Amino acid sequence: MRELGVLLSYDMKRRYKDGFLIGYNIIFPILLTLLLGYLLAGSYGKEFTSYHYYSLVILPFCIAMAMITAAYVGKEEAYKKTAMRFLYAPIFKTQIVLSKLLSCTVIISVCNIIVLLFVKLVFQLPIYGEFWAIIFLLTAEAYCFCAIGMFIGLGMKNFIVIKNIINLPLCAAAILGGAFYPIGTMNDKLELLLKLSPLTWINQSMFRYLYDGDRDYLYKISLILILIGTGFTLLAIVRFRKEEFIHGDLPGYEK
Amino acid sequence: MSALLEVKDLSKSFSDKKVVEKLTLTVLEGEILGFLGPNGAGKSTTVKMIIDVEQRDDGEIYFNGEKTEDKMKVFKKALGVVPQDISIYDDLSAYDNVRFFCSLYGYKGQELKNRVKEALEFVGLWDRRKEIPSKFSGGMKRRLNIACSIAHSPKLLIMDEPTVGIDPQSRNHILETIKTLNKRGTTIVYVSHYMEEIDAICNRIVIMDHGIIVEDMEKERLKEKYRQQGFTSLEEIFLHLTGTDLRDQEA
Amino acid sequence: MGIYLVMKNNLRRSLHHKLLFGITFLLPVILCLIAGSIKLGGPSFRIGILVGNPNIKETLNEKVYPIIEISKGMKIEDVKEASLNTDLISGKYHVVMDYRESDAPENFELLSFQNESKKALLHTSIQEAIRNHKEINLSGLSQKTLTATQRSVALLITLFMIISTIHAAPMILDRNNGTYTRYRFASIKSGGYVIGYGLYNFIITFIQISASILILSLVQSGFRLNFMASIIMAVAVALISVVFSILVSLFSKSEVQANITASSLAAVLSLLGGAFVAIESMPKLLQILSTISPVRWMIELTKLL
Repeated sequence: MRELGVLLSYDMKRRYKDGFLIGYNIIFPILLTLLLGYLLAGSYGKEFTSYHYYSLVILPFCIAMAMITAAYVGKEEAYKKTAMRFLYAPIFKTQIVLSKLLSCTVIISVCNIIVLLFVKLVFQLPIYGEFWAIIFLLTAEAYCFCAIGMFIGLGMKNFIVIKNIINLPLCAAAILGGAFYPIGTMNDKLELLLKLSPLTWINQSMFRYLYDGDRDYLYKISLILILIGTGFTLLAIVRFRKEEFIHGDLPGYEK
Repeated sequence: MSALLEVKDLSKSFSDKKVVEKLTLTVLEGEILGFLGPNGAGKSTTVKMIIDVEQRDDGEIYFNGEKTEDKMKVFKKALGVVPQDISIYDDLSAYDNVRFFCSLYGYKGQELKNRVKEALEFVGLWDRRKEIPSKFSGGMKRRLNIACSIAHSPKLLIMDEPTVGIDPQSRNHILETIKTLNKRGTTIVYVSHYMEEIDAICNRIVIMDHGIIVEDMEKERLKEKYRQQGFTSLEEIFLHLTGTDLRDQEA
Repeated sequence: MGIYLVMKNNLRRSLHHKLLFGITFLLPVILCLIAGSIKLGGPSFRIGILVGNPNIKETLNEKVYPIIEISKGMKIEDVKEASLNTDLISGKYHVVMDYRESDAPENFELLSFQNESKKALLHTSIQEAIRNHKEINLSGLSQKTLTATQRSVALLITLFMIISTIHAAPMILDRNNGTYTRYRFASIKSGGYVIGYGLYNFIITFIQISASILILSLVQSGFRLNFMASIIMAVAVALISVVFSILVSLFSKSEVQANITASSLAAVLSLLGGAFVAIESMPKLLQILSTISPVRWMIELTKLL
């Protein structure tokens, strides 16, 4: 347990020193919300503005993109060539996986709180008592996507291939989830297609909580995200391969 | 001297190709063991199996008379490894590098600070502790690489070519450091291709080729044995035992 | 000669990554098909009906539903009250006709998060249509929408800006592990190296785009480009994607940074270029800004072709 603490504090330090990670999870969602909100300002009314819409849908999209960062965090030691030191030190693979996963989740969640506070103040997003419920959902999402990223980074053999194409399905999920523009349909088949994107559930759960007073749905979705995240955490631990951890990102290392 | 590490019948294959075959080796407490072999001989695989980075197919490893898998944490706490690749964080200061890796061994507070200071002083980097290694010379990085591996005072230190690509001054400093460490009671397994280094610091030499040990003897006895056959240097003995063919197997 | 060697060497390298090549080949086609299928039925105006008093249902069946059903491009459906606002926000319904406190078909409240004037105009148009038993006229509200071809091209350019970066990002690795320096040792100028990389990227991207266009024209009925137009489009999309990806790679420190930057920039340029929102509906400033978006250039090119 003490080793986990040491690893976690070290990983946290590395994460908060990562300017790109912080920028991507604070500045980018704010800028994107501003841009898209401005883009569609004329289409919305006063009660619910385009800034309100994008304040809510851009954050889950950016959190989902953190999956790529998490995958690379998993490979950080292979990059830095320090992986061997972790493997012969008296620590367990579970501690390595958990410290990386938790550090990513915590830092991204802190970024989420900052962004949500910003949009609440600047765009007058009508969230009061619901603030922490939304943060709970977004933290669950951050945990889930970071766990998937960790599984890709530490537990999959084809990281070299996957790392390059991982952003394409994420962008598709964002489009289907309405991150760039609300995509609605009354066609059952197409609705099913939209629901394939986890961002659809996440966005809708926030709308339902804030505008339809449906609290259960948000907590159900959060629970599902936590369960999926836990599944991928276990997979990342079980599928953790020492050779992959050491060499996984070396050029030409493919199996 | 008693046996600190015993390896018995260690075997490893990669897709039907035997890389290490029933290897038996003993490392005595307090010695500096030179571990030699051409590329692809199976040295690195053997070392990786000993330090539990590579799964072994067969065989047993004992540390202080106990099976390592039964007391893995105890074994790992007593083990230090200096990897061939420089395994340090380029973006952390020299001090933070040593501190972090030492803290993985359970040290904290004042004891951790003392150990970090001692290790950095030992390799001559205490004055440069606040600098980040990306600004260090090759020799300084190698020394820091060693400091990260010795701060927790390992009983057994495995060094995998720790002097690759550095100037004679740095090499000399590292070799002196190794001798001092040994005098202080650290048992060292020294893996290298530099015969003159092996000759300068090792008590005993093990030569490996094609996954098996072809020679295991005290240095002076080994030199004496082959001198009678006309081989005067370690390099000549090595080439005699392992041949002169090029070795292009994958590492 | 240097340019040719850089290009040839990279083509050879890419052949070692068959899995990556295969996936980047198939993925855009699959994504275009998915995205295309969202709008398969063409643009529609979706109206929800919310009924409180069941007695009014029969009247609505007679006087409201038929009017909406005969109106061009309109669809109607009963709304679940529990998720009313969510359905409006997420675009399932553009508007909801609220009959919870009403006893007459033309007497309804129009629920929508759209702007007030648009909402008022819609309200009046629907009320008039119900009163006169006529088709609902939304001509005053209609905004230009993209054709299936334009939408597909917009998606293709967005996707290929991301995919091209996958092929260009190894430049960063070459730079970081010193292979780039070797080119310089061999007196290949940095410009030649970049052009060589660009040429290799262009060939790969062009082949992939051509395949995507071919498959789209076979399976998506609304996608119409003749042979010559397809070739021009493939060249234009490949060229822009390659320039974009090389620029992103030159300014990125690592592959992950390049890939994330490319996705984010491509998404912004796509929105700005009118892939989702008609340029005419954008604020003036953004309309001017949208001229820098390659997505807009491609949509304009499709109109010309």
